[in-house]
Amino acid sequence: MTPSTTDVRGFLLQHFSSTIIAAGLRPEDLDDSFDLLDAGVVDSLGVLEMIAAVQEHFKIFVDFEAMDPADLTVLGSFSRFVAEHATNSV
Amino acid sequence: MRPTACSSHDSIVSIEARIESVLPWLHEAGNPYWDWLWGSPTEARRQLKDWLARSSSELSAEHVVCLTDEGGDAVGGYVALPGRKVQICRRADLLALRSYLQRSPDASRILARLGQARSLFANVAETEFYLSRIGVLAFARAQGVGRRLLEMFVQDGRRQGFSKFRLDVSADNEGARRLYRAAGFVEEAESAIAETPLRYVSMVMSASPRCDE
Repeated sequence: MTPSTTDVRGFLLQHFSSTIIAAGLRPEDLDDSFDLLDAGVVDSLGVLEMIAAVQEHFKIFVDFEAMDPADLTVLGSFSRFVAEHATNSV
Repeated sequence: MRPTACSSHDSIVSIEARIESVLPWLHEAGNPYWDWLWGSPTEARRQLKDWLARSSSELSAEHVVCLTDEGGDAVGGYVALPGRKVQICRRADLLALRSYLQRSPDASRILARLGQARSLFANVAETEFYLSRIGVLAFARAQGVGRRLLEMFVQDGRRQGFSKFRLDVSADNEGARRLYRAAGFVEEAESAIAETPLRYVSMVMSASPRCDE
C-alpha cells in the first residue's frame, strides 16, 4: 500500500519539525505552497536526503522523471507527486 | 573579438560540436570544485558534457554565451542565469544527479563529497543575476577578454531588469578576483572545506538596470 498525499505531507512536517520551528514557523501553519528549499528547511543535498527518507519511511520507490523541477521542494506538490507515483519497494 | 551565443537553436553547428567547442574553457571555469567532486578530470569532463546536453540544467549549452576570435574559434565565454532560473535548474540537476547516483558504483563517494561541500556556495536569490561560469582559454588571456565577458554578463542582466549580480570564484584565483573587484564586485563571504583545495569567495555587485542597451 502506498501513502496518500496527506501521509507524505504529515511525514515531511514531522521529519523537519525542529528545523521549521527553529526558523520561527509552526508546521501546522504551513500551506501547500511552502517551499522547503527556499525557506532554508533543506539545502540541495537535503533534498536528496528528503527523498531517501520518504522512500525509506513508506518503503516505496518514486520515479521523479515526470516531475516539474519547480515543484520538487514545494510541500503540497511534492507530497501529491509522491502519492501519485509511488510503487512499493521490495 | 565578437560575441556569439552558442545556443542549441543554431542549426549550422550540431549540439555535439558546440559542446566540444566550449568544453575546454567551461571545464576549467568549474574547477577546482568540479574535478574534486567527480574524482578525476576525465570523469568531470564526461559529466560536464551530460549537463551541457540537458536543456533543464544550470550548465545547459543553451545558457552558454561564447566569444570567438576573427577566425571564428572560441576564446572563452560565460554561463549566466536569472536567480529564479538558477533555483529551478538546480532542482532539475538534483533530480538528474539522483537518477545518475542510483546506477553509479561511485554513488557513496560522490554523496560524501556533496556532504562536505554543502555550505561551500551561497544561495542565489530571485532578485539576482548569477554568473555560473566564466572562462578564457589560456592563449587568449591578458588581452581583455575576461573584462569583455564580464561586461557582457552585466549588460545581459541589466537588459533583463536586474540590478544585483552574483558570482562565486575560487579564492586562489587572484587574477579573477582583481578583475571582479575592478568591475565593482565586492566580496561578501568566503567558505572553505578543510583538507581540500576548495576555498571559494562569493562576490556581489549592485548596478542600476538599463533598458536602453
